[in-house]
Amino acid sequence: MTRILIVDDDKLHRFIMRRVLDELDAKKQWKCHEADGVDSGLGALRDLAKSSGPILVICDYVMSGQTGVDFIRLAHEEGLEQEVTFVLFTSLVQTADHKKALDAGARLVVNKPLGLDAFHDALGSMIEAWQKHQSERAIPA
Amino acid sequence: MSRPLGPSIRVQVIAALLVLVISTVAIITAVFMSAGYDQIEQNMEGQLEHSAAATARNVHLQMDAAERATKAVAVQITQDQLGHAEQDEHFGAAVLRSGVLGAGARAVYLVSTDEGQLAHRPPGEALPAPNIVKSVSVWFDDRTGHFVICEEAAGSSPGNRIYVVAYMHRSAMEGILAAGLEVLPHGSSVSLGIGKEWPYMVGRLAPGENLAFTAPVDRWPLEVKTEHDGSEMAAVQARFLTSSLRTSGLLILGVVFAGMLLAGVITRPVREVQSAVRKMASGDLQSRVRVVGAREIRALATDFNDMASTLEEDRSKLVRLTDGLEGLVMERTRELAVEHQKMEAFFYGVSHDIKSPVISIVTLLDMAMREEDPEKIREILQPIQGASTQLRSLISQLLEFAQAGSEVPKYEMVRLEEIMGQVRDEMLGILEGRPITITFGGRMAPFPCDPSWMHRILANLVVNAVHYMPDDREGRVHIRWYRRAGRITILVEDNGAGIADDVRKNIFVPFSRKRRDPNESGTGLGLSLVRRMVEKLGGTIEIPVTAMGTLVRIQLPSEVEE
Repeated sequence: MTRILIVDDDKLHRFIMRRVLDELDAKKQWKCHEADGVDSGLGALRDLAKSSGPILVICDYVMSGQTGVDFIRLAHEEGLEQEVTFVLFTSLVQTADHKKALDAGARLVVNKPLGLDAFHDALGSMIEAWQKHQSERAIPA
Repeated sequence: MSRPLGPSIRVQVIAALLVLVISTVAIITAVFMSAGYDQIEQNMEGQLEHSAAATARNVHLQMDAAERATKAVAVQITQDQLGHAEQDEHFGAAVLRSGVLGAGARAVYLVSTDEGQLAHRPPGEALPAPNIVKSVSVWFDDRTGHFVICEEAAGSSPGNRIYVVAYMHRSAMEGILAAGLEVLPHGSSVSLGIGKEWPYMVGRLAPGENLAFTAPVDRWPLEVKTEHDGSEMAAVQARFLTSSLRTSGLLILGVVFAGMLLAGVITRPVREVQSAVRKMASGDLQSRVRVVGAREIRALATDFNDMASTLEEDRSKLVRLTDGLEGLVMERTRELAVEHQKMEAFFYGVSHDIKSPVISIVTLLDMAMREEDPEKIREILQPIQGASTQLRSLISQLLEFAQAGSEVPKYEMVRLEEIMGQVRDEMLGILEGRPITITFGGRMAPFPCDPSWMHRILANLVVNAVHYMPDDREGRVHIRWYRRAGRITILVEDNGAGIADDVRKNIFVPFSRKRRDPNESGTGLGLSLVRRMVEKLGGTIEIPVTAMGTLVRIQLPSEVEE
């Protein structure tokens, strides 16, 4: 089961992402979850972590009060990062924040694109890379 | 400051010059004497009698004290040479007779006179008339107090010198001197005359004249006529010259030594000052000199030290000033760096907040374009409206923010009740039936303020209070004001969720407080704008920590500051 958690305080962005992911999931095998901030995101992650299996978290960087980096840090503090891949998906990120995100444990930092096709490409390659990484990890096991 | 006391450098310089002059004279004398010595040696060989005379004259003219000694010695020698002397009863003076003067002289008549009469005592044989004289030489004998008058008789000739030597006491001579100058007739007795002011008789009897004495003072003591064989005299003079040379040498050595000593005394302090000046020129302003030496040198040293102190003080002032300037520049640079950082954060915030709705609008439009079902199209387009509103609101606040930077408040007397009434009316539309009460009040006379600005300030604060009011409670927003100690205080309180400490820290920084929902109208610029306006009105704004809810405190001057 492919489990994806979207953490973003922008309702429209969540809407767009959800829609694009639906279109990418041709076989309708992915399970998508949403959260509108760091606190709700952590709650959702806790729930997801109860059952085993990889989780892809697509998290916004700039959110009300806290940031995506705070979210990753807090998830690590709770030990929720075991099977989780964090990707920061942000409207605009400064170089310093980019490094901060990677240091905190984000696998990727991706700028949100403009337009539907660009969203397809961005999220499509993101999922592809993640799935490839999962399968590579699975073989030795 | 007192002038340093001590011997004047002028005195030292004069002394030095004096020593220099004396030494120069001594050296010249030595040179002349040396030359004279050579000539006397030649004279002793019987070749240059006149030169010797000239040399002797020079010596007499130049060496006063030495001359007297010489004269005395010369007389002594002459007396010795003349042989025995006997006292002449008639003249009451020493009369020497007989003997041989010089190698070629046969006889000498010694005449003494107390009356000024030059008399002749014939010895054993007839002599030429003594008043016919070829030349006369006169010495003064310090030892005996007599003048010695040596006349060469007219009949004297080389190989047969005839001299008449008269010994005349000083007192007698002075009597003659007092009588004035006379030229005696041929064959008559001699009367010596000279100016009163001349203590000693000097003079010569010109050849061919009967007997006359002239007395040019600068010729004193006398001219030594050496037409006789001068070997004895020359020997004496040579001895004197040798002694003189020795004396002169010692004198020169002494003078040179004293000069060096004096030069050292004078120049050492000057050299110290010079060395200090050089040190100063190379940047060592701590250089000082000892205040020693002549008065002028000590004054110079004191002045130099004063100047050095002034320069050092000025330089340290300059250094302090430069340090101050450097500090100021560094402080300004830090401030500018902070401003720059703020500006970057501001543009980052603006870019982010513009890009987010634009992403939504562009992407949703793409979606709508691909839909055919009008119902679905409407579903997609509806949220675009929210994103557009968000964008519009941000742009409008950015404009306001920019304007607040350049705009100047237009003061008029403001009644806060009126402004708050307008704000509350506007809020009714925003509240949309939410259970939030807005109240206000205060007793205060109108005060000078820009009503438009005050409206925007209060509206922003009330909107914020409403905006962040949790839905789970009956919200209350209360605005009150008062005047105290020349300050207007306006308080905006609510019973909302309050502000977390980490958010409070940067609450007035643009885009620091993130929107809870992109569909809401907050832009992240509201409080920054409020603070900007309050500060331009000469006031302050703060959000103190409270037990519950949020309190915003604004303080404004009650009068317009010029």
